[in-house]
Amino acid sequence: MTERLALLGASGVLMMLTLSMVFLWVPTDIVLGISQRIFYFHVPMAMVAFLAFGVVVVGSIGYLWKKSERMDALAYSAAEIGVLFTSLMLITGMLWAKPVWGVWWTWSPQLTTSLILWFIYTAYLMLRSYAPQGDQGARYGAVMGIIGFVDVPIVYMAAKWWRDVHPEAVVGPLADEGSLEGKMVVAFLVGLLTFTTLFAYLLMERYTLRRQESQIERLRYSHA
Amino acid sequence: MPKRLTLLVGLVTLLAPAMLGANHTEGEEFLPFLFAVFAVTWAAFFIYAFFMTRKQADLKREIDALRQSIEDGKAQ
Repeated sequence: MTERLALLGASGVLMMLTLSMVFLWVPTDIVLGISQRIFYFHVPMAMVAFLAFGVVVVGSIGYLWKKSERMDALAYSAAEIGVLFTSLMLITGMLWAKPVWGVWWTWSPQLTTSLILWFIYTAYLMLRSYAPQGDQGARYGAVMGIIGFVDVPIVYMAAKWWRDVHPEAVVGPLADEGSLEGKMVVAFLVGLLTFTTLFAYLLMERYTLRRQESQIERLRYSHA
Repeated sequence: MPKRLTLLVGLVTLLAPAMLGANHTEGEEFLPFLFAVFAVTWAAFFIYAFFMTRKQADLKREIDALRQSIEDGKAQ
């Protein structure tokens, strides 16, 4: 409980710091203007979504290997939060696209592969809801969680492989050196830390909830 | 005292970048989009966390009730 409160408090403080940096400190991009400030939310959320789906893979492999219910709960919780982050990444992307490109949505490869990623893990959550409870459903989910992750590197590489309106990566291994100014890098890293902390907090809460749901299933079974 | 300290730390955190050099900008027609991004993001997180916490409390009550019911059944 103490760790969760600490994470929540840290997320709050970091959130304030991110907002103040984004609005008051970072310089305005010469090309994209003030709308570029959406970047400090949009990109960290995308990266945290990738992290969440990475946790799904780890939890799924753990489940298939050890048959551990805890690993399955971890995978399921991370998938749900990953879908939340991906949804927000898509929405913030649309809110950025409108002033810059003049349209809310375009079938650019990076946008399309991101939407596919959202569909894959939404389907994962639906599968877990409709598949039989217990080992069978968890096994189906684990396989889907692992295979679905194939789309993550494709989303990241899409801007490099198929050049179009979406800008190329300015952070990560594909980014050119000096593609972001010093202050922008600092603000981006603080934003990334904020969303990672928030992800850790939400994951702990969702994991507890998932364990409670399993506990209820067991109690109902023993009560019947 | 701890409350005052928390408030002070919060204020310094919030204002530090401004003290280091604010940068006001042109292109204010994009501000509604910027505001929408922040509003949607934080509203989504708060709503999600709120419902999760509420569901946790509901499930805890249900677990306690089921445990009680099992114990009552054993006692009879």
